[in-house]
Amino acid sequence: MSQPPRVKLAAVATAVTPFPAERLSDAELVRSAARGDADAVGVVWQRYAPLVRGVLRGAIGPDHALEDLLQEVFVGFLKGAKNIHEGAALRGYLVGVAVRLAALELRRRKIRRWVMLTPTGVLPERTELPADSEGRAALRALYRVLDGVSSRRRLAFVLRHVQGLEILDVAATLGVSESTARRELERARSYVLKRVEREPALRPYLERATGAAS
Amino acid sequence: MSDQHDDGLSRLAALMQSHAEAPVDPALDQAGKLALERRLRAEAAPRSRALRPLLVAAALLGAAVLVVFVELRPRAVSYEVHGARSDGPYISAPATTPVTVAFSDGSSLEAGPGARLRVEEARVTGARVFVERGTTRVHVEHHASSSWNFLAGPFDVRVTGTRFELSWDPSAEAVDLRLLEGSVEVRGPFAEAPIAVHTGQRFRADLATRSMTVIDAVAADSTRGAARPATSTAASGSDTASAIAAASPLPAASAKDPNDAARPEPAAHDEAEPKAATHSEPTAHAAPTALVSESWPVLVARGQFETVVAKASERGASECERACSASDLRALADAARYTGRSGMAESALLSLRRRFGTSGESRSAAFLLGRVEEARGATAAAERWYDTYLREVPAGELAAEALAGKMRTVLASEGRAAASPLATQYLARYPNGVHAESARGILGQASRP
Repeated sequence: MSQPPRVKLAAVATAVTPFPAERLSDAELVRSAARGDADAVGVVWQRYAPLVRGVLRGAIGPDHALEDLLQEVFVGFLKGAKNIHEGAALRGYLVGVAVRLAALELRRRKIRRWVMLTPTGVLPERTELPADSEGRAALRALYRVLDGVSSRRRLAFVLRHVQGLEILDVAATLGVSESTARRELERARSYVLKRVEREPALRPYLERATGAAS
Repeated sequence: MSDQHDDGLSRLAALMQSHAEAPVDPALDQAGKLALERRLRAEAAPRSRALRPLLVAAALLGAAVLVVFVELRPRAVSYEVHGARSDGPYISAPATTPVTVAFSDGSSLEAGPGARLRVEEARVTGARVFVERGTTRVHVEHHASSSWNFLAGPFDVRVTGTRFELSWDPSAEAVDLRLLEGSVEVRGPFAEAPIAVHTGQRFRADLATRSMTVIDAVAADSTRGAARPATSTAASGSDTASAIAAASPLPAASAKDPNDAARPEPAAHDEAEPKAATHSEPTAHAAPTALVSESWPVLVARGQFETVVAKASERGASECERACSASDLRALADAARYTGRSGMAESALLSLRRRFGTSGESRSAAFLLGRVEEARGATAAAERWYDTYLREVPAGELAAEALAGKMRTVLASEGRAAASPLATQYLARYPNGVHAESARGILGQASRP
């Protein structure tokens, strides 16, 4: 039996196309990103940017800085990809980075308020508010209420009630014990419930709830 | 009420959720992705471009360093053999004429007739030379980092700059080292610590009898032909080592089997040259080993200087100065000097002077104090102690060394003119003394052939 011509083998080899990055698993994407593969980072963006954006939005509310923070999360991922030992935990890793960056942003905001970097101490108009005016006003009021709690308490509230994380995941993401997470969550909840009653824009939400209950 | 609150909270959470999960304008998302890719490229590519000039500069610097290193790197000393043909590292002198080996750093060797050398290792700072047989006269030029080793049998003579004669007799397994100038350290199989040999001293070791001695070659010169050598005064076991030491300007180091070390020296012997430690003759009066092993003079004789210092420290230096015997104080002083503890040596010697008045130990201590002070560079104090010794024992065993010491210190502190009378006096008394060459040099006389 004769051997196939060498040139044909070469032609076959060059005809092989790389496995599409879109179909790689999270673990494979992490390995590729650790090697500096920009395509892999692009796929991670496509796969997880909506989630991360949601976490950031929930945590800091409508803000001009949101897209910048989103960039920071993915740049941080690329730099830290070599240290992600469990590639399958990519989702949790990205949420954790987003939460930490959100916490930093919330602290920066407080500092800006303290040093009055804006003429009135009021932050610039936030973007991406809901289309309806009632919803816009309610959301602004809600975040105004949340501005009154500590960053950790606020993030606990957002992770539990907005992102729907289990209490253990909230604790893990915040890097605190489960009991601390529970305590922070309860205090945030109490504070929000107490303060929303003073916000006219939020009363309809409570009244609807009361009406529904009656 | 709680349910109402929970319900209200759920509505608020839903409001936030709807905001968080609101669809994003695809153009905004695409712009974000592109911005990320641009940023990643910007963080990767410009870094290499920015580093390129640095890398080029580093490469050029590296090349320059390499060239400088190759051109200016220290090279090992080289040597030329005159008077015989060298066979690789082996240098054999003919039976009737000497051979000279000249090193590139100015050092030189003269292998006596019949001698055989091997330059085993040429280094930047010196060389390692085996004296395989015969006598070799060595002159090592002193440099800041000079490091020479001369090996004779199991003995290693370490040198930084000096002149000496080294002989090795392989059949008798005996080494003989005469220090003409400077000092060396000898490491050998019988001593724990290196033994310092100074100008005018002679180190001899004999493997067969396991003896190792340092004696004053000046005493040998001055007493040549005398009926009774200095060391023959040793009378009994534990005093042997101190008697040896007394015969030497620096402590004698004699090492051998402890049982042998304890044996008394013969009362006298016929050799013209003093043999400080010829412990090969057995006697019927050998002291018990256990007793001897605790004697400091014997420990010094065995080269166990650190042991003596440790024992003195355990006992307490001031306690020893108050209560130790003369021989122990002398042994302590010797051990301290050998291990570089000049303060401890000085204290022991001063105690000897204070407590033992006109004894021989006390008088020798004056000379040794001169040595200690001279080593410190305190020439005036050294001169006073040499004077003290010469005044107390003008014809003493160490007189030649004391006079030479005074000559050196006066030369160092007051110059050649002041030292000339002392040089004249030295030559008159010790024309063949070890320091005769130095004395002639002070007087401007030509060296003897």
